[in-house]
Amino acid sequence: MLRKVLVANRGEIALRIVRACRELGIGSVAIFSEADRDSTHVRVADEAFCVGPGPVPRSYLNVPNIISAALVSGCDAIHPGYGFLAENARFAEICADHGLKFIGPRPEIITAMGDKATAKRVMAEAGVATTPGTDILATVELAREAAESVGYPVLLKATAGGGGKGMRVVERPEDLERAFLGATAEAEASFKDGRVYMEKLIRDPRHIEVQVLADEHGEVVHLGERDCSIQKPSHQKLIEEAGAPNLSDRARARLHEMAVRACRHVGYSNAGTLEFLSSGDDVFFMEMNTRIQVEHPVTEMVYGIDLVKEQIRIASGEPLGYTQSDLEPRGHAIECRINAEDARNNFAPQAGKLGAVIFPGGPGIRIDTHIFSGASVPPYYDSMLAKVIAFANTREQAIARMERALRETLVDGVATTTEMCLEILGTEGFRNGVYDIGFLPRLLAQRVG
Amino acid sequence: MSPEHPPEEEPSARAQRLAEFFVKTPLLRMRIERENEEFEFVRSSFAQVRGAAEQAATPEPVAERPIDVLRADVVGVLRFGRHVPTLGEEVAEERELAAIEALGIRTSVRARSSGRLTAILCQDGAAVDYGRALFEIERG
Repeated sequence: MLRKVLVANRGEIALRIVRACRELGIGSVAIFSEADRDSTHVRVADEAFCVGPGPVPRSYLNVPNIISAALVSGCDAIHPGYGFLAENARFAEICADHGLKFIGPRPEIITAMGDKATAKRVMAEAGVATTPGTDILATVELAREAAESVGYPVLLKATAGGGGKGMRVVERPEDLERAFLGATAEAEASFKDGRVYMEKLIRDPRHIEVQVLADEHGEVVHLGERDCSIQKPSHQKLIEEAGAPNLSDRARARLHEMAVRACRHVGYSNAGTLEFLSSGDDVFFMEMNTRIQVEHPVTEMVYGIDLVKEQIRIASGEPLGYTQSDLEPRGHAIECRINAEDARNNFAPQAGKLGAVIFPGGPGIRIDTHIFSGASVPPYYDSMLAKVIAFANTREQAIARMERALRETLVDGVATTTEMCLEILGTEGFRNGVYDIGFLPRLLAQRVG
Repeated sequence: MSPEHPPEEEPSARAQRLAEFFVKTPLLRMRIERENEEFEFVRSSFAQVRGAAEQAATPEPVAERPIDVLRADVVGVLRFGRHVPTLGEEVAEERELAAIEALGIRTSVRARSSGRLTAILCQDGAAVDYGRALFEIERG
């Protein structure tokens, strides 16, 4: 088993990893920026190192200082959490060069899955259904030919993309040239990589993802699916649940089977998530996240497995110790993200000093958070303050429990998404489990109207 | 300054300190009795009292003694050089006081100005993080 882990992250996930280390009897070393000096993960970890000033490039992406902190504190591994360096293959290589185990898959897998066009090709080779589309398109002319073949409407996407950058919907041939030039320019500006590819646009799909765990000895299991279709107009998730409501047994089985097959095909190890777009019974691979996800707790609740501990055990070289037939989901779990954002003002992020903070408790409620009364919310980082997770025997009970919990939640000092989540939970669409990724943007548009 | 005295102070030092205190007051006479000790201070003329009162009314300008705090700007291990810095020594501008070793790279910690080394806040071989205060130099 690993002896001491440096947690290369901040906020709730850093705290989550420190907790897992402590329960496993492993030492933990936190890193922090000057803006996070009073943060909970710093206080709770065995040791802590300041790695730079507040801005992310100078602290949480400061690779030399992070690696040096791991070495001088005697760590033998680094857990990257999510975001920051979690899907940076070069960072994983640097860890290995310094004798530090990167808690995640091998660098070449991160590279392959990080490039969306490559990931799609690899998945197609594994027999995984992918959205009809193309490889990289070098010119407008090639894009025009491709669109005729795929069939309008189409989606142009940046291969290095994320967060909707370098993405364009093209409904008609006459709009293609402008969209192609816009997408490549935006991708170049955002990722220093202007390459784009094309996919058939699937209207109003659901975003369903499958959690996988794979050890370093070839055993792969899935831990069911999560529905993450409640997304802000910026495509960031706001509410997730496990399992996905109203998903046919056939589609569910297919998703699970494809996820495991894909991991076996690429020789995946550690925790990962395969994201799919679903429309009716059709499911198409979208991308793979080679890390722990924000929404991992809903899976943990229904499978009774601590995914972060499993990541550490796998990185230690231990076998999973169970197979698919040993895993059985139980009940239903929902997660609501409490972000420091003004939902009435296009989810504008908020920063400042918090006043009173009171989180709910009681049966079936789990809170993953790093904030406390009087804590500062620095302007440099992601605006997520907390995750409220409700677990119950049925989806209906889980919704009722979540509504009760959100009404008990108090975060003074900044606007939060708590009320927005309550509003969504109260809609007929959510209660019936009939929603897609356009659900929240439509709800917001109606409110403005 | 206070006329109270620390318990471990020598009587002569205490007398000196009390005298300094007395000349800053507008008093003509000050007498202090404590256990086996007795101090008495008397002014010889009223002009001295007026002068003292004026001095008391306009506070003595405090001599500026800017302190440079040298901090770590990388994470690593602090190493003193062959010339180990010692408390109270005069250091020249640009003098290398130590270095931080990180990932095989040595980053010098140098005095930004000449002055007296008034604090050594980390020891040789210590792991230091970003922003950690290492030395204080009173600029000369």
